[in-house]
Amino acid sequence: MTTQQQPAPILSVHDLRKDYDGGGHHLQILRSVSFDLMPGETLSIVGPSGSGKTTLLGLCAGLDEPSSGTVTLAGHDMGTLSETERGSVRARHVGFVFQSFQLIGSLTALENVMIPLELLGQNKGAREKAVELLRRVGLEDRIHHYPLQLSGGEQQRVALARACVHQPAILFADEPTGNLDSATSAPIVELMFGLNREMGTTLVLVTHDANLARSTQKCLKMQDGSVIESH
Amino acid sequence: MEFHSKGLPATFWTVSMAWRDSRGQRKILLLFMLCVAAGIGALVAVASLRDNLDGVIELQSRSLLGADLELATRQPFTPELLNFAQQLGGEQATEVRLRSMAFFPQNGESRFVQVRAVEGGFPFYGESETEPAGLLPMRDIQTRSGLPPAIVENSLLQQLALETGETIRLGTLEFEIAGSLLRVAGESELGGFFAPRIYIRAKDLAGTGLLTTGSIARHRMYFQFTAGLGERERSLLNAAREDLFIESGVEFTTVESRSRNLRRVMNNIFDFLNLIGFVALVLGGIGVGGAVQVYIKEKLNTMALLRCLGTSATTTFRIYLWQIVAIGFLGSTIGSAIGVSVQFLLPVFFG
Ligand SMILES: Nc1ncnc2c1ncn2[C@@H]1O[C@H](COP(=O)(O)OP(=O)(O)OP(=O)(O)O)[C@@H](O)[C@H]1O
Ligand SMILES: [Mg+2]
Repeated sequence: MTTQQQPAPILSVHDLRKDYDGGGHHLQILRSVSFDLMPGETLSIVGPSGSGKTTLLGLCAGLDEPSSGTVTLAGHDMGTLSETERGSVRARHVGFVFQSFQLIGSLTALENVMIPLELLGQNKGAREKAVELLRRVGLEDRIHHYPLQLSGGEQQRVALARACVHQPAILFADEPTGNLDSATSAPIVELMFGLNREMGTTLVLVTHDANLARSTQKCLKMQDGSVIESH
Repeated sequence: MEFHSKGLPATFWTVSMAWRDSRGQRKILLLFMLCVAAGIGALVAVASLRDNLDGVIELQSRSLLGADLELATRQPFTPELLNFAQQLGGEQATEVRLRSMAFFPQNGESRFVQVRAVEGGFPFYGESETEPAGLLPMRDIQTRSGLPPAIVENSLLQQLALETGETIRLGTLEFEIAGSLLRVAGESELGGFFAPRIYIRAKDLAGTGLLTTGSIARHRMYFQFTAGLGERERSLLNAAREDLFIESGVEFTTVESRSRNLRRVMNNIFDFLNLIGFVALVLGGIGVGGAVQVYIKEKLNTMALLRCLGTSATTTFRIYLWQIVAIGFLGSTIGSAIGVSVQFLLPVFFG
């Protein structure tokens, strides 16, 4: 991990706004969201459907560009970077679990999980790391299956393994347990918080699960694009 | 910003991604490839067939004409023309070619045929095939019945179930079928398809009564010179073409003019084939282009995902570039191979 003398936030969001213009309507999806997150902290984002959680998560990870405001991620002011540079920041520091898993259909579970390592040129031991992670999410006997051959929950676990395999400094997860029952979600939650404990991985989780929300240090409650409560 | 895309490893990764990503779509990709191969194959086939035939014409031009010089008229040779032939010298042969009905007394059938009354050693060059062998150039053949001999197109004999030794009547004269004609030097197999060829001796033509004033016939004179068409013959021809040839209605063909004509015909055919091939390739290209576009559209999600995981736009582009380049390269290579090998297969079909 990087040596940081005086603690600087790994993620700093300031006055973030996102508008959409479409069909003659001007939609304000996010209205002035600000927060800071220190390395190793855990944050959950909760709120009703359509309140802007996924949008906020995408902006924080540099997947999208805000209408105004700044996102500073791992020391990089994302607004000043090109798309390719943002990609490079993501490849090195960010793990992302999409709400709809988003595995690459032509690759096996194992190959999907290995991609982040391959992108970083860490080919040595990539396979072993990927197999180990898949084992931890309970999919050791499905590593050569293609996404279509996996259930929704299994795909979600593969997606989480892919997001963790390169030991990112910060992990964004959009409803990581949304498709899982409590029995299968337990090892997932354990894996994420284990990373947080052992590697100091910062966690940002969007969830509807009140229990999961309670187990993070910080929580943002959103409604209609605004943070209505934060602690 | 440093990104791992340093030279070879990155290229390796894009190639391996390209390969892995093609899973499940390899059949479609193969189809694209075959489309490219078919188009290229057609063009290459036309081009190399042209090259080959060009060489063949060069090598075989003498046997295509069968002689060094041919003089052709529409009426019997004038005394002036015979005189001119005397001056030219060399080995000479004549042929009168006309169309007529042939009657077969055995089965009462009759057919429209092409009669060739020949004298001399024509064709001087090239091999003809007859059964029994060696009947052309036509010699005096002793027939069993004593009737004059005729060599009849093999396909006609087969059609009418006739055999050598049986009788055929041309005009008012009966002939004995002395043999069957399989191939004439310098002519294609198809030559005898519409009007079967029958060879008789020139001296028997008068007896048939087929050649009267007004009959449509081609009279030809063939020459063979010991050293090909030389300076002396050329200057004689040049002198004659202004007056004698015009007065006597003579068309003359040399080996060069024959191959020039052939080449002209061939070039026309090949230009046409090339145009068709080209149009096919362009249309095929548009088709493949559209299909590739649809293919890429289906891949957009994967591309977006790779971008989310941090792959640069160039790297993502390269993954799919590899796939398309591979299709194009393999397709053209296979197409060229097919095009070239068609050369070796064609003779099997067209003899
Ligand atoms: N590309 C877009 N164009 C227009 N509107 C959009 C776009 N993306 C999202 N929105 C709108 O922004 C709002 C917030 O969307 P978002 O996906 O962030 O909600 P969410 O909080 O993640 O909801 P859920 O819990 O259902 O996933 C929604 O009303 C959605 O319709
Ligand atoms: Mg959402």
